Amino acid sequence: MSRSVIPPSEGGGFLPKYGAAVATPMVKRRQLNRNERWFFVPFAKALLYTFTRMFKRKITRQYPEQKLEAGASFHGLPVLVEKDDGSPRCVACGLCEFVCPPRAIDIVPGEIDNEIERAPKEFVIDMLRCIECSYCEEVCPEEAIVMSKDYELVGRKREDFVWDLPKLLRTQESLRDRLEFVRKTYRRWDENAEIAPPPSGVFRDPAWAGRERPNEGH
Amino acid sequence: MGLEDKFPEILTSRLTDLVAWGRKNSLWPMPLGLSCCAIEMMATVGPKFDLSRFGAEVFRFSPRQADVMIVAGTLTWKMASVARRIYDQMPDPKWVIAMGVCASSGGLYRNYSVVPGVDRIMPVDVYTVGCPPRPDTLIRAVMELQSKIEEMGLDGRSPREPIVLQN
Ligand code: SF4
Ligand code: SF4
Ligand code: SF4
Repeated sequence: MSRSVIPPSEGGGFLPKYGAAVATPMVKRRQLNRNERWFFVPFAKALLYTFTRMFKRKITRQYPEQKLEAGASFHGLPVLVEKDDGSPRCVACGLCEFVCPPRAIDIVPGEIDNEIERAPKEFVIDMLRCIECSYCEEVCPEEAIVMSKDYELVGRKREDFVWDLPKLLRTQESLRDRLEFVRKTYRRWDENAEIAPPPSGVFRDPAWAGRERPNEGH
Repeated sequence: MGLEDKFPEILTSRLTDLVAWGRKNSLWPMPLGLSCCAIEMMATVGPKFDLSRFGAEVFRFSPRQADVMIVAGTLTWKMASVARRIYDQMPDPKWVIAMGVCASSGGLYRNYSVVPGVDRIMPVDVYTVGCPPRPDTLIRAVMELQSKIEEMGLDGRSPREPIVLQN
């Protein structure tokens, strides 16, 4: 027998009947010393460890009071960007509706009177379907739909999660960092002027770079 | 005008309020971890988020000892009868949190094999968004459930009738 087999008395218990196919236990059970067998010493050690943790750095985030400081790369719920006059940037092209994996978006296109000619009459996102994948943001040619920093939406009725235009529209100002991030990530519009981040750094939030612990306490 | 005015050292309460206070601060969840959302559910009870701050850290894997079921993950039709059976085994009053979009609506899986929302087979009290929801979102769902329990009557299910005091 070429391989070393742990004898049955030490917990091995089976012989390599089928040659290489038999798994041999690689790790033997360690012999416990007297203190370990006696149970109370390790138990007291464990309690002592728990006790001393009380005086160490606190790592629990006190959630409702202390919220996540989401960076620009955070994927929250998708929202629509509005123009300065309060109308949506969206031109109802339907790309996001098409690309959305769970088909969470529903658009009814409408006609408007300026040179853009198209705007959504209705724009509905079912937040209970949305998986926050940001495909819609990636595909949108108008930078009209971006991921917000809202993530803690809970509710008691499914109807509450179906967001329509008034709920979805956000000002450009409130989405500034995400819009910048999107523009950098997909290198849209201003290819030459933009200092494009290296591919490996694309999804890293610039605000976190070089810091050991980005958000203290979580 | 009541008992408190005559005996200011006595704290009076409605029995409903007292029971609701007890219930909402000692939720024992039954983790129905079906797929990836269950990982975030585990993180919620971990030290960083610590669900025990809300009195809901005693996860019981036996449905008879639990009163809130956290459905965390994709419920398939094959699993549905089992999930319903576990729900039926839980003692009343019981509540259900649908964690993540899969449990809430089927989410990404718009196909024949996935239940489009666990509310097809059991009543859901709180829905959550996210794929997966952050632990924060689950904590918020627990808080929402707590406020719902507060509004419930003694049976833990029907909304409480407001008491109109007449002088
Ligand atoms: S983020 Fe993904 S799932 Fe959500 S609406 Fe956009 S494409 Fe659909
Ligand atoms: S891809 Fe952009 S412009 Fe097109 S419908 Fe969606 S949000 Fe509107
Ligand atoms: S919601 Fe997303 S993370 Fe949760 S079970 Fe479904 S696919 Fe997995």
